[in-house]
Amino acid sequence: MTSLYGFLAPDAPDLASVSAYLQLRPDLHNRHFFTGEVSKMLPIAVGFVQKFVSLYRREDALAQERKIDSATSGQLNPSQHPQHGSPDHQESLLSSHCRALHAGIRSLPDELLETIFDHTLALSTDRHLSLNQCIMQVCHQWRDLALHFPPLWSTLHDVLWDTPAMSSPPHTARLRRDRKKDTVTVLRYLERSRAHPITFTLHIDVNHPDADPLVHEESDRLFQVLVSHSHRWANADLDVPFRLLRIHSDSIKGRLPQLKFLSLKVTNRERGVVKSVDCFDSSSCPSL
Amino acid sequence: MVLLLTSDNEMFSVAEDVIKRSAYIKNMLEDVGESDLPIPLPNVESNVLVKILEYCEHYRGEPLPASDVDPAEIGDRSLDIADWDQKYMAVDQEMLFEIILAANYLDIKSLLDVGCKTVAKMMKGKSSEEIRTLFNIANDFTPEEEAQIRKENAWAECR
Repeated sequence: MTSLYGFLAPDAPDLASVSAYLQLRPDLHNRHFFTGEVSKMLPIAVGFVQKFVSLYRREDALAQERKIDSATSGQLNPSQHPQHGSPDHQESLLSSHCRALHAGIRSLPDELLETIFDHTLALSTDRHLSLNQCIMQVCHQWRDLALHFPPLWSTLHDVLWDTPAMSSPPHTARLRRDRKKDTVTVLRYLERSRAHPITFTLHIDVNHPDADPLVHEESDRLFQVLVSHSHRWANADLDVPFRLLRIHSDSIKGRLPQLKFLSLKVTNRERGVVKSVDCFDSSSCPSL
Repeated sequence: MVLLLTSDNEMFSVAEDVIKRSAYIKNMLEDVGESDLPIPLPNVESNVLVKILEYCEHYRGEPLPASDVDPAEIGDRSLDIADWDQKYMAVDQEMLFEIILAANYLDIKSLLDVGCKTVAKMMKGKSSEEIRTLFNIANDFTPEEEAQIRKENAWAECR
Protein backbone atom coordinates (compact mmCIF):
# COMPACT_ATOMS: atom_id res chain seq x y z
CA MET A 1 0.00 0.00 0.00
CA THR A 2 2.74 2.41 0.95
CA SER A 3 4.72 1.52 -2.15
CA LEU A 4 1.59 2.02 -4.21
CA TYR A 5 1.37 5.55 -2.92
CA GLY A 6 5.03 5.93 -3.56
CA PHE A 7 4.46 4.91 -7.15
CA LEU A 8 1.60 7.34 -7.62
CA ALA A 9 3.11 10.28 -5.83
CA PRO A 10 6.33 9.97 -3.89
CA ASP A 11 5.23 12.54 -1.35
CA ALA A 12 1.62 11.46 -0.97
CA PRO A 13 0.15 10.90 2.53
CA ASP A 14 1.11 7.64 4.22
CA LEU A 15 -1.27 4.79 5.00
CA ALA A 16 -1.84 5.92 8.59
CA SER A 17 -2.97 9.34 7.38
CA VAL A 18 -5.28 7.82 4.80
CA SER A 19 -6.78 5.40 7.33
CA ALA A 20 -7.32 8.15 9.86
CA TYR A 21 -9.00 10.24 7.23
CA LEU A 22 -11.21 7.36 6.13
CA GLN A 23 -12.42 6.84 9.68
CA LEU A 24 -13.70 10.37 9.55
CA ARG A 25 -15.18 9.89 6.07
CA PRO A 26 -17.04 6.55 5.95
CA ASP A 27 -18.68 7.64 2.70
CA LEU A 28 -15.34 7.15 0.98
CA HIS A 29 -14.86 3.55 2.12
CA ASN A 30 -14.27 0.93 -0.52
CA ARG A 31 -14.12 -2.54 1.01
CA HIS A 32 -12.48 -4.10 -2.07
CA PHE A 33 -9.65 -1.70 -1.82
CA PHE A 34 -8.62 -3.05 1.55
CA THR A 35 -9.51 -6.73 1.20
CA GLY A 36 -8.71 -7.58 -2.44
CA GLU A 37 -5.37 -8.07 -4.11
CA VAL A 38 -3.63 -4.81 -4.66
CA SER A 39 -2.64 -5.67 -8.22
CA LYS A 40 -6.29 -6.05 -9.22
CA MET A 41 -7.30 -2.94 -7.41
CA LEU A 42 -4.80 -0.62 -9.08
CA PRO A 43 -7.34 1.35 -11.19
CA ILE A 44 -9.59 1.74 -8.14
CA ALA A 45 -6.60 2.72 -6.05
CA VAL A 46 -5.54 5.35 -8.55
CA GLY A 47 -9.00 6.86 -8.56
CA PHE A 48 -9.25 6.68 -4.81
CA VAL A 49 -5.93 8.36 -4.17
CA GLN A 50 -6.75 11.10 -6.64
CA LYS A 51 -10.14 11.59 -5.01
CA PHE A 52 -8.65 11.57 -1.52
CA VAL A 53 -5.97 14.08 -2.34
CA SER A 54 -8.49 16.25 -4.14
CA LEU A 55 -10.91 16.14 -1.21
CA TYR A 56 -8.12 16.71 1.28
CA ARG A 57 -6.97 19.73 -0.66
CA ARG A 58 -10.44 21.15 -0.90
CA GLU A 59 -11.22 20.58 2.77
CA ASP A 60 -7.85 21.92 3.84
CA ALA A 61 -8.39 25.07 1.78
CA LEU A 62 -11.89 25.52 3.17
CA ALA A 63 -10.67 24.96 6.72
CA GLN A 64 -8.00 27.58 6.22
CA GLU A 65 -10.55 30.01 4.86
CA ARG A 66 -12.85 29.40 7.80
CA LYS A 67 -10.02 30.21 10.15
CA ILE A 68 -9.75 33.73 8.85
CA ASP A 69 -11.70 35.92 11.15
CA SER A 70 -14.08 38.00 9.11
CA ALA A 71 -13.99 40.74 11.71
CA THR A 72 -10.26 41.25 11.41
CA SER A 73 -8.86 43.88 9.17
CA GLY A 74 -6.39 42.52 6.67
CA GLN A 75 -8.61 39.52 6.14
CA LEU A 76 -8.89 37.86 2.80
CA ASN A 77 -12.16 37.58 1.00
CA PRO A 78 -13.60 34.13 1.81
CA SER A 79 -15.52 34.10 -1.45
CA GLN A 80 -12.26 33.84 -3.38
CA HIS A 81 -12.03 30.09 -3.90
CA PRO A 82 -9.00 28.59 -5.60
CA GLN A 83 -9.39 28.63 -9.36
CA HIS A 84 -8.73 25.51 -11.36
CA GLY A 85 -6.02 26.25 -13.85
CA SER A 86 -4.32 24.19 -16.47
CA PRO A 87 -3.58 20.47 -15.89
CA ASP A 88 0.08 21.30 -15.33
CA HIS A 89 -0.83 23.91 -12.79
CA GLN A 90 -3.12 21.46 -10.99
CA GLU A 91 -0.46 18.80 -10.95
CA SER A 92 2.06 21.23 -9.57
CA LEU A 93 -0.37 22.34 -6.88
CA LEU A 94 -1.21 18.74 -6.02
CA SER A 95 2.43 17.85 -5.70
CA SER A 96 3.23 20.83 -3.50
CA HIS A 97 0.24 20.19 -1.24
CA CYS A 98 1.25 16.57 -0.80
CA ARG A 99 4.79 17.56 0.09
CA ALA A 100 3.42 20.11 2.52
CA LEU A 101 1.52 17.39 4.38
CA HIS A 102 4.87 15.99 5.41
CA ALA A 103 6.51 19.30 6.23
CA GLY A 104 8.02 19.07 9.69
CA ILE A 105 7.22 22.64 10.56
CA ARG A 106 3.51 21.85 10.19
CA SER A 107 3.81 19.56 13.17
CA LEU A 108 4.66 22.43 15.52
CA PRO A 109 1.86 23.75 17.71
CA ASP A 110 0.76 27.33 17.16
CA GLU A 111 2.46 28.73 20.24
CA LEU A 112 5.85 27.44 19.10
CA LEU A 113 5.39 28.91 15.64
CA GLU A 114 4.51 32.23 17.26
CA THR A 115 7.70 32.08 19.32
CA ILE A 116 9.67 31.36 16.17
CA PHE A 117 8.02 34.32 14.40
CA ASP A 118 8.91 36.53 17.35
CA HIS A 119 12.57 35.41 17.25
CA THR A 120 12.67 35.88 13.48
CA LEU A 121 11.52 39.48 13.75
CA ALA A 122 14.01 40.16 16.54
CA LEU A 123 16.78 38.90 14.23
CA SER A 124 15.62 40.95 11.26
CA THR A 125 17.19 44.21 10.20
CA ASP A 126 13.74 45.40 9.10
CA ARG A 127 11.10 43.68 11.24
CA HIS A 128 8.22 45.28 9.35
CA LEU A 129 9.36 43.92 6.01
CA SER A 130 9.99 40.52 7.57
CA LEU A 131 6.55 40.46 9.11
CA ASN A 132 4.49 41.86 6.26
CA GLN A 133 6.47 40.67 3.24
CA CYS A 134 7.70 37.32 4.48
CA ILE A 135 5.89 35.68 7.39
CA MET A 136 2.47 36.99 6.45
CA GLN A 137 2.84 35.81 2.86
CA VAL A 138 3.98 32.22 3.37
CA CYS A 139 0.59 30.53 3.70
CA HIS A 140 -2.86 30.98 5.21
CA GLN A 141 -1.91 29.32 8.48
CA TRP A 142 1.08 31.57 9.08
CA ARG A 143 -0.85 34.67 8.07
CA ASP A 144 -3.69 33.80 10.40
CA LEU A 145 -1.33 33.07 13.28
CA ALA A 146 0.62 36.28 12.80
CA LEU A 147 -2.54 38.37 12.56
CA HIS A 148 -3.71 37.05 15.91
CA PHE A 149 -0.42 37.26 17.81
CA PRO A 150 -0.31 40.80 19.30
CA PRO A 151 3.39 40.88 20.31
CA LEU A 152 4.40 40.79 16.64
CA TRP A 153 2.56 44.06 16.06
CA SER A 154 3.55 45.79 19.27
CA THR A 155 6.58 47.48 17.71
CA LEU A 156 5.02 50.06 15.42
CA HIS A 157 6.73 50.97 12.22
CA ASP A 158 8.82 54.12 12.59
CA VAL A 159 7.17 57.39 11.62
CA LEU A 160 9.81 59.89 10.52
CA TRP A 161 8.14 62.92 9.04
CA ASP A 162 9.73 66.09 7.90
CA THR A 163 7.42 68.94 7.06
CA PRO A 164 8.65 70.60 3.89
CA ALA A 165 7.23 73.81 2.60
CA MET A 166 4.43 73.51 0.11
CA SER A 167 5.76 72.73 -3.34
CA SER A 168 4.26 71.61 -6.61
CA PRO A 169 0.75 70.11 -6.44
CA PRO A 170 1.87 66.60 -7.52
CA HIS A 171 4.54 66.55 -4.84
CA THR A 172 2.14 67.76 -2.18
CA ALA A 173 -0.46 65.21 -3.23
CA ARG A 174 2.07 62.42 -2.95
CA LEU A 175 3.22 63.69 0.43
CA ARG A 176 -0.34 63.71 1.72
CA ARG A 177 -0.91 60.22 0.39
CA ASP A 178 2.26 58.89 2.02
CA ARG A 179 1.36 60.47 5.34
CA LYS A 180 -2.07 58.90 5.26
CA LYS A 181 -0.52 55.52 4.46
CA ASP A 182 1.74 55.88 7.50
CA THR A 183 -1.23 56.72 9.69
CA VAL A 184 -3.23 53.80 8.36
CA THR A 185 -0.29 51.50 9.04
CA VAL A 186 0.09 52.75 12.60
CA LEU A 187 -3.63 52.25 13.13
CA ARG A 188 -3.32 48.72 11.78
CA TYR A 189 -0.48 47.89 14.17
CA LEU A 190 -2.35 49.44 17.09
CA GLU A 191 -5.40 47.34 16.32
CA ARG A 192 -3.48 44.10 15.84
CA SER A 193 -1.33 44.59 18.94
CA ARG A 194 -4.58 44.80 20.95
CA ALA A 195 -3.74 45.49 24.61
CA HIS A 196 -0.04 44.64 24.35
CA PRO A 197 2.47 47.33 25.45
CA ILE A 198 3.79 49.19 22.41
CA THR A 199 7.15 50.46 21.23
CA PHE A 200 7.25 53.28 18.73
CA THR A 201 9.30 56.08 17.17
CA LEU A 202 7.55 59.27 16.17
CA HIS A 203 9.64 62.07 14.69
CA ILE A 204 7.75 65.05 13.30
CA ASP A 205 9.99 67.82 12.08
CA VAL A 206 8.53 71.32 11.85
CA ASN A 207 11.26 73.26 10.16
CA HIS A 208 8.88 74.82 7.69
CA PRO A 209 6.09 76.72 9.37
CA ASP A 210 4.50 77.42 5.99
CA ALA A 211 4.13 73.71 5.25
CA ASP A 212 0.99 72.25 3.78
CA PRO A 213 -1.73 72.55 6.45
CA LEU A 214 -3.16 69.17 5.51
CA VAL A 215 0.18 67.56 6.33
CA HIS A 216 0.07 69.34 9.69
CA GLU A 217 -3.43 67.98 10.22
CA GLU A 218 -2.22 64.46 9.54
CA SER A 219 0.51 64.93 12.17
CA ASP A 220 -2.09 66.07 14.67
CA ARG A 221 -4.32 63.15 13.84
CA LEU A 222 -1.55 60.57 14.19
CA PHE A 223 -0.35 62.00 17.50
CA GLN A 224 -3.90 62.04 18.81
CA VAL A 225 -4.29 58.36 17.89
CA LEU A 226 -1.09 57.47 19.72
CA VAL A 227 -2.12 59.52 22.75
CA SER A 228 -5.36 57.56 22.92
CA HIS A 229 -3.17 54.48 23.48
CA SER A 230 -0.83 56.16 26.00
CA HIS A 231 -1.72 53.57 28.64
CA ARG A 232 0.11 51.04 26.42
CA TRP A 233 3.27 53.07 25.78
CA ALA A 234 6.27 51.01 26.91
CA ASN A 235 9.12 52.41 24.81
CA ALA A 236 8.59 55.78 23.18
CA ASP A 237 10.98 57.79 21.05
CA LEU A 238 9.34 61.18 20.51
CA ASP A 239 10.62 64.13 18.54
CA VAL A 240 7.57 66.34 18.15
CA PRO A 241 6.49 69.98 18.06
CA PHE A 242 5.79 71.46 21.44
CA ARG A 243 2.36 72.41 20.17
CA LEU A 244 1.31 68.74 20.03
CA LEU A 245 2.43 68.04 23.57
CA ARG A 246 0.73 71.18 24.86
CA ILE A 247 -2.57 70.26 23.22
CA HIS A 248 -2.53 66.67 24.45
CA SER A 249 -0.74 67.12 27.77
CA ASP A 250 -3.88 66.56 29.83
CA SER A 251 -4.71 63.39 27.93
CA ILE A 252 -1.24 61.96 28.55
CA LYS A 253 -0.72 63.02 32.13
CA GLY A 254 -1.28 60.20 34.59
CA ARG A 255 -1.91 57.71 31.80
CA LEU A 256 1.52 56.21 31.22
CA PRO A 257 1.57 53.29 33.65
CA GLN A 258 3.73 51.04 31.45
CA LEU A 259 6.22 53.56 30.09
CA LYS A 260 9.71 52.19 30.79
CA PHE A 261 11.80 54.09 28.27
CA LEU A 262 11.31 57.60 26.92
CA SER A 263 13.40 59.61 24.50
CA LEU A 264 11.88 63.07 24.20
CA LYS A 265 12.86 65.95 21.96
CA VAL A 266 10.57 68.92 21.62
CA THR A 267 10.76 71.73 19.10
CA ASN A 268 9.00 74.94 19.99
CA ARG A 269 8.06 77.48 17.34
CA GLU A 270 5.21 79.03 19.24
CA ARG A 271 5.41 82.51 20.68
CA GLY A 272 3.98 83.59 23.97
CA VAL A 273 3.24 80.15 25.37
CA VAL A 274 4.57 78.47 28.47
CA LYS A 275 7.48 76.29 27.40
CA SER A 276 6.94 73.38 29.72
CA VAL A 277 4.65 70.44 30.14
CA ASP A 278 4.47 68.11 33.09
CA CYS A 279 2.88 65.08 31.49
CA PHE A 280 6.04 62.97 31.88
CA ASP A 281 6.69 63.56 35.58
CA SER A 282 7.35 60.64 37.89
CA SER A 283 3.77 60.41 39.10
CA SER A 284 2.58 59.97 35.53
CA CYS A 285 5.24 57.40 34.64
CA PRO A 286 5.67 55.07 37.63
CA SER A 287 7.57 52.49 35.57
CA LEU A 288 9.98 54.95 33.94
CA MET B 1 18.21 5.73 37.89
CA VAL B 2 15.01 6.56 36.08
CA LEU B 3 13.41 4.27 33.52
CA LEU B 4 11.90 5.85 30.42
CA LEU B 5 9.75 4.01 27.89
CA THR B 6 9.58 5.56 24.43
CA SER B 7 6.70 5.39 21.96
CA ASP B 8 8.47 2.63 20.03
CA ASN B 9 8.78 0.56 23.22
CA GLU B 10 12.46 1.09 23.90
CA MET B 11 13.51 1.32 27.53
CA PHE B 12 16.14 3.80 28.69
CA SER B 13 17.79 3.87 32.09
CA VAL B 14 18.89 7.42 32.84
CA ALA B 15 20.61 9.10 35.78
CA GLU B 16 18.15 11.20 37.72
CA ASP B 17 20.30 14.34 37.70
CA VAL B 18 20.53 14.11 33.90
CA ILE B 19 16.85 13.77 33.13
CA LYS B 20 15.78 16.31 35.74
CA ARG B 21 16.52 18.99 33.17
CA SER B 22 13.08 17.99 31.96
CA ALA B 23 10.62 19.83 34.19
CA TYR B 24 7.98 17.29 33.20
CA ILE B 25 10.05 14.33 34.49
CA LYS B 26 11.29 16.31 37.48
CA ASN B 27 7.76 17.13 38.59
CA MET B 28 6.64 13.58 38.00
CA LEU B 29 9.47 12.20 40.12
CA GLU B 30 8.66 14.66 42.88
CA ASP B 31 4.96 13.81 42.76
CA VAL B 32 5.26 10.04 42.47
CA GLY B 33 8.49 9.45 44.35
CA GLU B 34 10.84 6.55 43.68
CA SER B 35 9.40 3.80 41.55
CA ASP B 36 10.63 0.84 39.53
CA LEU B 37 7.99 1.44 36.91
CA PRO B 38 9.13 3.11 33.71
CA ILE B 39 7.80 6.53 32.81
CA PRO B 40 6.00 6.22 29.47
CA LEU B 41 6.86 8.85 26.86
CA PRO B 42 4.20 8.23 24.20
CA ASN B 43 5.18 11.34 22.25
CA VAL B 44 8.91 10.63 22.02
CA GLU B 45 10.61 8.04 19.83
CA SER B 46 13.85 6.38 20.86
CA ASN B 47 16.05 8.09 18.26
CA VAL B 48 14.77 11.47 19.46
CA LEU B 49 15.20 10.57 23.12
CA VAL B 50 18.82 9.67 22.40
CA LYS B 51 19.36 13.23 21.12
CA ILE B 52 17.49 14.72 24.06
CA LEU B 53 19.61 12.75 26.51
CA GLU B 54 22.76 13.91 24.71
CA TYR B 55 21.70 17.48 25.44
CA CYS B 56 20.79 16.75 29.05
CA GLU B 57 24.07 14.92 29.58
CA HIS B 58 26.07 17.83 28.16
CA TYR B 59 24.45 20.29 30.55
CA ARG B 60 24.53 17.89 33.49
CA GLY B 61 25.37 19.74 36.68
CA GLU B 62 24.58 23.18 35.31
CA PRO B 63 21.87 25.10 37.17
CA LEU B 64 18.35 24.65 35.87
CA PRO B 65 16.64 27.79 34.54
CA ALA B 66 13.92 29.24 36.75
CA SER B 67 10.78 27.53 35.53
CA ASP B 68 8.37 30.38 36.05
CA VAL B 69 10.35 33.20 34.46
CA ASP B 70 9.80 34.12 30.84
CA PRO B 71 13.15 35.29 29.38
CA ALA B 72 11.32 37.90 27.28
CA GLU B 73 9.86 39.44 30.42
CA ILE B 74 13.22 39.96 32.06
CA GLY B 75 14.62 41.55 28.94
CA ASP B 76 16.78 38.60 27.93
CA ARG B 77 16.25 38.70 24.21
CA SER B 78 19.66 37.43 23.24
CA LEU B 79 19.33 35.38 20.12
CA ASP B 80 22.85 34.02 20.29
CA ILE B 81 23.21 30.27 20.21
CA ALA B 82 26.18 28.70 21.97
CA ASP B 83 28.70 26.91 19.75
CA TRP B 84 27.95 23.50 21.21
CA ASP B 85 24.21 24.07 20.79
CA GLN B 86 24.71 25.06 17.17
CA LYS B 87 26.59 21.83 16.48
CA TYR B 88 24.00 19.87 18.42
CA MET B 89 21.23 21.37 16.28
CA ALA B 90 23.03 20.62 13.01
CA VAL B 91 20.59 17.84 12.15
CA ASP B 92 18.12 17.32 9.35
CA GLN B 93 14.84 19.21 9.51
CA GLU B 94 12.81 16.19 10.53
CA MET B 95 15.00 15.62 13.58
CA LEU B 96 15.13 19.33 14.35
CA PHE B 97 11.35 19.57 14.63
CA GLU B 98 11.20 16.28 16.53
CA ILE B 99 13.67 17.68 19.05
CA ILE B 100 11.60 20.85 19.40
CA LEU B 101 8.41 18.86 19.91
CA ALA B 102 10.08 16.57 22.44
CA ALA B 103 11.60 19.52 24.31
CA ASN B 104 8.15 21.08 24.44
CA TYR B 105 6.56 17.86 25.68
CA LEU B 106 9.28 17.18 28.24
CA ASP B 107 9.33 20.84 29.22
CA ILE B 108 13.05 21.45 28.69
CA LYS B 109 12.91 25.22 28.29
CA SER B 110 16.53 25.84 27.34
CA LEU B 111 16.43 23.21 24.60
CA LEU B 112 13.09 24.47 23.32
CA ASP B 113 14.54 27.97 23.21
CA VAL B 114 17.59 26.83 21.25
CA GLY B 115 15.36 24.92 18.84
CA CYS B 116 13.10 27.89 18.16
CA LYS B 117 16.08 30.20 17.72
CA THR B 118 17.63 27.76 15.29
CA VAL B 119 14.50 27.76 13.14
CA ALA B 120 14.31 31.56 13.36
CA LYS B 121 17.91 31.81 12.14
CA MET B 122 17.07 29.54 9.24
CA MET B 123 14.31 31.96 8.26
CA LYS B 124 16.38 35.10 8.69
CA GLY B 125 16.66 37.20 5.54
CA LYS B 126 14.56 34.84 3.45
CA SER B 127 11.61 35.81 1.28
CA SER B 128 8.25 34.11 1.69
CA GLU B 129 8.98 31.97 -1.37
CA GLU B 130 12.36 30.92 0.02
CA ILE B 131 10.74 30.05 3.36
CA ARG B 132 8.16 27.91 1.58
CA THR B 133 10.92 26.08 -0.25
CA LEU B 134 13.02 25.70 2.89
CA PHE B 135 10.22 24.14 4.93
CA ASN B 136 8.29 22.51 2.10
CA ILE B 137 5.20 24.62 2.66
CA ALA B 138 2.59 24.92 -0.07
CA ASN B 139 1.53 28.33 -1.28
CA ASP B 140 -2.22 28.11 -0.67
CA PHE B 141 -2.99 31.71 -1.59
CA THR B 142 -5.03 32.26 -4.72
CA PRO B 143 -3.71 34.82 -7.21
CA GLU B 144 -6.53 37.14 -6.09
CA GLU B 145 -5.46 36.84 -2.48
CA GLU B 146 -1.84 37.47 -3.38
CA ALA B 147 -2.86 40.59 -5.25
CA GLN B 148 -4.86 41.76 -2.25
CA ILE B 149 -1.93 41.17 0.09
CA ARG B 150 0.42 43.04 -2.24
CA LYS B 151 -2.01 45.93 -2.28
CA GLU B 152 -2.23 45.91 1.49
CA ASN B 153 1.56 46.00 1.77
CA ALA B 154 2.18 48.64 -0.86
CA TRP B 155 3.42 50.99 1.88
CA ALA B 156 6.25 48.62 2.69
CA GLU B 157 7.29 47.94 -0.88
CA CYS B 158 7.94 51.57 -1.68
CA ARG B 159 10.31 52.05 1.25
